[in-house]
This record gives sequence, C-alpha cells and structure tokens, in this order.
Amino acid sequence: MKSMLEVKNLSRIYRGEKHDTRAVDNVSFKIKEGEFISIVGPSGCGKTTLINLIAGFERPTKGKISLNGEAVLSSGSDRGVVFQKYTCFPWLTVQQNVEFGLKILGVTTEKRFEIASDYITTVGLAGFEHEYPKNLSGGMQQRVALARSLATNPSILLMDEPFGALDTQTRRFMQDLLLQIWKQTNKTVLFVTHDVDEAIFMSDRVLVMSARPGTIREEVRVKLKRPRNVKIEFSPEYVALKKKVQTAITEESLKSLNEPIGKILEDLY
Amino acid sequence: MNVAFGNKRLRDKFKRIWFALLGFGMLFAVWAAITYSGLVKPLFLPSPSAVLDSAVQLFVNEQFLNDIFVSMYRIFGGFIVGSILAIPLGLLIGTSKIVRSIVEPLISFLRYMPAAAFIPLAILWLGIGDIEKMFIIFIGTFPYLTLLVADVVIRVDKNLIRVARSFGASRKSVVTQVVIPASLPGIWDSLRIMVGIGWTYIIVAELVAARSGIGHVIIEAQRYLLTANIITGLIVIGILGLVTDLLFQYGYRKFFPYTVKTERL
Repeated sequence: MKSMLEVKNLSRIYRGEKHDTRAVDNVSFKIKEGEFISIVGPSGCGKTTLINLIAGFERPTKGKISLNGEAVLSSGSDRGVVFQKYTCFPWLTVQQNVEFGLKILGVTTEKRFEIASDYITTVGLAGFEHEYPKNLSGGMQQRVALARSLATNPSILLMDEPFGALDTQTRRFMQDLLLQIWKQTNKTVLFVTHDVDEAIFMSDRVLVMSARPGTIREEVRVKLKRPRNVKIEFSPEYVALKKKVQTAITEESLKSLNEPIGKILEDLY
Repeated sequence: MNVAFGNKRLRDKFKRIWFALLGFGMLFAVWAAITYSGLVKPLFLPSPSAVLDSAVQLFVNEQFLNDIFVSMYRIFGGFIVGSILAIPLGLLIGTSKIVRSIVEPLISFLRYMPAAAFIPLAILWLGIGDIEKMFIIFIGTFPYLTLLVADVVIRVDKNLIRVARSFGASRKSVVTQVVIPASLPGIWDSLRIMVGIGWTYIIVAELVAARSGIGHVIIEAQRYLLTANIITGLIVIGILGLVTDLLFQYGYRKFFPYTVKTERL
C-alpha cells in the first residue's frame, strides 16, 4: 500500500521574547493507508504540536506535510481531529453535534440526519440523540466527538490523547470501541498518547519521540495478532515491546528534567 | 431515586428562600429596633410604619407609579440602545485583532470618564428631557458592556473553534456557528450585570434637572426633609433591581438549559 500521510523534515519553532523554543525538530515519517500509528513521548515533547501541524491549525517553520499526495496548507475535512479536552458543543444535542461537520460541508438536512444517526449507533449512543453534552459522562462525550469526526468521512483520524481524561475502565472500553470502528471503517489513525500500554495495544507502529526539541527517536513495530484483547499484555512479545518503548521514554524524560534532579533519578534507576 | 433527587432540590430551594427572607428580616429588625426605641431621630431615619405611611401617600396622592414607569422607560431606552451597539461591537473586538487594536483603547478611555460628569454636556446637547437621561444611562453602560462582551467572546474555548476549523469552516461560519452561540450565555450575564448598573445611573441622571422619575422624587424629598420618601424611593429601586435580576436569571434558565451552571434562587 502507498503512504497516504507523509511528514518530511518538519520543524516548528515558537519565537519568544528571550529565546525561541524548538517544539518539533526535523520530524519525518510516513503512514500507509489503513495503518494505526501511535506517537508516544515524554510530556512537553511536542506531540500536540505535531498533531496541530498535521491538522493545519498551525503552520510549520520548516518542512512539508502531504496527505494523499497533496500539500497540507490549512485545516480541512480530509483530517478528522479528536481532542483530549471534551469539545462537544454544549448548546447542541448529541445529534446536532454529530451533524455539525456535515452542516459546515453543506450536506442536506436529510442526508445529515441519516449519516449522523448511523455514526451515533456505531459509537453506541443510540437513544441519547436528544441529550445535551452536560448530561453525558466523559466517555460518552468523547464518543460523540469521535462520531462527529467520523461523520465527514476523513481520510485520517488525528487523535490527541483522546482518552487521557478518562478512568481506566472507560479507557479500556474506548480502546476496544476505537479498534472495532477502525477495523469496520478501514480508517487511518494517528494516535497521540503518553500511555505506553495504550500505544502498544492499539497500534501497528509506535513512534517514540525524544525530549524537546521533539524528534522521532525510535520506531517500534507491533506485530501482535489482531483482534487483540487484554490478555496479550501478559505475552512475552508484548513485555519485550513494552520494555523497549518504556526504556526509550524514561531516558528521554530524564533528559528533559533539570540536570541535578536528572542525575539523582539516573542513579536511582 | 429520581423523585428523591427532585425532593432534595425542592428542599434546597425552599431553604435558600428562607435564608434570603431571614437576611431581609434581620435588616428590618435592626431598622425597627433603632427607630421605634427612639435611638435615631425620625428626621434621619423614620420608622418602618412612617415609611409605609409615606409610601401609601406617594402612590395614592402623588402618582409615584408614574415616576417609577418614567424611570424604567429611561433605563430600558438607554440600556437597549447601549446593548444594540455594544453587543456587535464587543463581538467585533473579540473576533478581529484589527478592530480590537483600534477600538479597545478608545473604549477603555471612555470607560474612565464618569457618566455623571457628562450630565452638564448632555443637558447642553439634548436638553433636560428623557433623551438626556437615556444618554447618561447609555454613557454609563455602553463602554463597560462592550468590554464585557468582548471579554466573553475572547474567552470562547479555542478547542471548539478548532473543531469547526477542522471541518474546513470559513471565518464567517466559525463566528456564526461557534463563537456567537458559545458567547450567548456570557453575554446574557453581562446584560444582567449592566442593567443593575443602569439602575444606579438613572438616579444620578434624575437628581439633576428632572421633573419626574424616582431620582426626582428623592431629591424633592431631600429639599423638604421628607426622609421617609427618600427611604421609600430607595426601597422601590431595590425591589425593581431585584425583580430585574430575577427575570434575567429566569431567562438564563429558559434560554440556556444546556449550561451546567447550577440553579440559583
């Protein structure tokens, strides 16, 4: 399969009054159609900046992003974005929230209703169409956001720690649901997380980012069989993968800490 | 379970009303105690019954109701004109950096000029009729309201805007589909606050060169040392302000049922 998303020598520098911050530094990778890719890394390594660049919310200082062979210059409905923060529109019902993107794209009322209803069922929220987000749990709100992104049929889903604010049980459930939907819809997913287990459990490949300035430090292929369930976490292959990813992240985290504290922790390890 | 929950809410509501009445009761008790005991001379603070007498007198013989309506008319006139201009201007300041850099300093400058200081100028320009009073209300509320609205607009969750942009929404769609609906509850609250401030300015406007209105009644009463009338005027203003506030709160719950804001009295 050909690569659908191509990121090449991407850098983003934030100009500051005293000094500039290099958030993303010379990042390159490719994603093939239908792949599930995770990006993990220590906090502040530029994961979110990377997503914002690909989504088109920010412009890179250097480098190129292309999607299906076309250069990404701004945001657009070919990329669906799911955020960590709950981003349901509070004044719209579940149904209206899911229809939002379709409305922006000028889809007719009946078609909108039909598509949105389908995706509401897909994420398991049938029966909640007329509820306002304030009446939904965090997990349900993220499902609405997911349905809203899927409704406009983007080529790729960009997910920025979408389950980061959820409790462990809900998170498990959401991971299974997302994998199920991913399989059903053959979507390509770029998934940012700081949770190593989540990254390995979900992905075909895990990209480990370095401490700031963020670069791709390592690419780990996850060849575990699908469909996956919780049990794979006890398999030797999984443990080996986790060790590899976790070690890389820990090393990078230590680098990003202040020198003296970093030293102390290094001694402890 | 639902029923029990409903009962608890109802109980809480009654509790709040009781506490509110208790507050008023305590104020009233202190007032009654220091006046009926003769601790304070009636010239400075008349007793509750004396105030009630003068209130009856004002309403029955001196068309006080008319003064109240005149004051309300002036407030709402000035306030509505102010809102009609302030809400779009606030939206523009909140959504456009250029408009913001041009207008915001100007408004901030205007804001520091006390509305009362405009009275002589307003009389010179507009005479001493209703329009002049409305102008004072306008001057007193418009700059603040504009800045409050702009602030509400600026505080709209950036992620919500990004969601719209991720679907390729145009600037116009972002404003109409996200920024405006997201700002409405905040704008409504700003209106609520500014209407209250409108009540304070109407009295200032009516203290000078007025032939009617609650402020006029108060200044007349001062001239003839009818302290009870002053107190009546103040109480009426308090009640009208409270009622306006309750109406705004009621409207908030009616128009924005989707907000998580906790229910108030």
